[in-house]
Amino acid sequence: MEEQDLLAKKELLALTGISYGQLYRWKRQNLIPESWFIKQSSFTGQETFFPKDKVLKRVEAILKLKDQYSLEELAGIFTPELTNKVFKASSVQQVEDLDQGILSLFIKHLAKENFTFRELLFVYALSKIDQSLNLGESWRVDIVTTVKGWLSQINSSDYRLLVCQTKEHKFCLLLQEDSILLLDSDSETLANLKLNELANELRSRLTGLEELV
Amino acid sequence: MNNQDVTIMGESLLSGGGYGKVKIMGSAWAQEDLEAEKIRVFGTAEFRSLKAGKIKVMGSARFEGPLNVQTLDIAGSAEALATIKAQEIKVFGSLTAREEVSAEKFLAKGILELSSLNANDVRIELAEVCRVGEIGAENVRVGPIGMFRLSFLGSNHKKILQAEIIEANHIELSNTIAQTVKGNQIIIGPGCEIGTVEYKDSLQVHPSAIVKHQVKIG
Repeated sequence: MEEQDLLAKKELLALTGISYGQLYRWKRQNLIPESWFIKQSSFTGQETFFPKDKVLKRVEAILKLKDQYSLEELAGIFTPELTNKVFKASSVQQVEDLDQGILSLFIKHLAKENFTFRELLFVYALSKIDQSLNLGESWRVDIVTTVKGWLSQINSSDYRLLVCQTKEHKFCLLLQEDSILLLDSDSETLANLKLNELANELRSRLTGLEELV
Repeated sequence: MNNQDVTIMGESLLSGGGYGKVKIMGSAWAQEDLEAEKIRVFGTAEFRSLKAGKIKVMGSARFEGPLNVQTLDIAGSAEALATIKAQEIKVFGSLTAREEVSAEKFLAKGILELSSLNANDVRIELAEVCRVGEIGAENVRVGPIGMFRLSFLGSNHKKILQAEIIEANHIELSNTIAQTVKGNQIIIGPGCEIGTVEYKDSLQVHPSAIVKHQVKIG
């Protein structure tokens, strides 16, 4: 893990001129994320530290913007919807239900160090499919490259991801959510996942995760 | 909409969704997330994630998920396993919380067992032993409960606040045992035992109080 520069709470207040009351108020209003309050033991007991660059940038921004916007509006500016967030590869590897093998394929084939929410959504969907159908290593590689192509063409999660089988051959389909798929009688649908539903499940698993702003 | 009012007299499961006024006389438990305008618990209740306008607990309540509420009044007892976010919290009974409790106004005259409290104004009137890991606020006032209150337990009964750290702009303490107190203007009153006080503008220490180290900052 990379070592990040930390700043003690006391130094933060001295450097920026804000008070304890302000700091705690901003924390209450979600202007400064909970995850930035890092507790570490020191010789005087426990001390709170912050990721130095991030917190200084944030406090400066709050001080500059607080006269133009209400604290609520500011919270919206600083914590956009999860779907706009970018997550570090190292932190998403800890998320349950994301298959490690598929994640590492994404990292390899998409040259990824960070994941957007939608990319993670596909990782999650593929993890589910792989878990129930157990499709093997070569399929995984193929589907990851396929998804790479899909991702550049879609801009919402209003889709269904299907796995179908014709005789021995399995294939994936990405359909718009409300479209109907009728197959010939030799084929069957093995999996049918609504991305929007998965997005809700994934959202709860990702909250609290360290994001990269 | 379909925000119906519910009264539970016996024992019942509360299904998830939105409610108007909820009154629990018997015992009720929710297995799903709830939203309600007003909740009054006279009996016992158990909630998952809960969002409400007003909650009054006269009996006992247990919040297993995050609680988001405008005003929280606890005359009975309440236990929270996740965070509590409120505008105003009043505790006359007892409140136990494992995660952060945050509010604009926090007033307690009962028993507290909190890991972390973040509020604009914190006022704790000591009627019992209160334990709070850390307090972060704009103003903190800790003192004995009004002197006209009858105490059936006699004067030997210890009424103190135990805290690890208290940080606020203005702090006024009495009967408090804390490792660290940090602030701008600090008054340490009678019955206090403080490890380290860090102050910016002013510090007053009562002759009977013990302050091991004091440091003036900047």
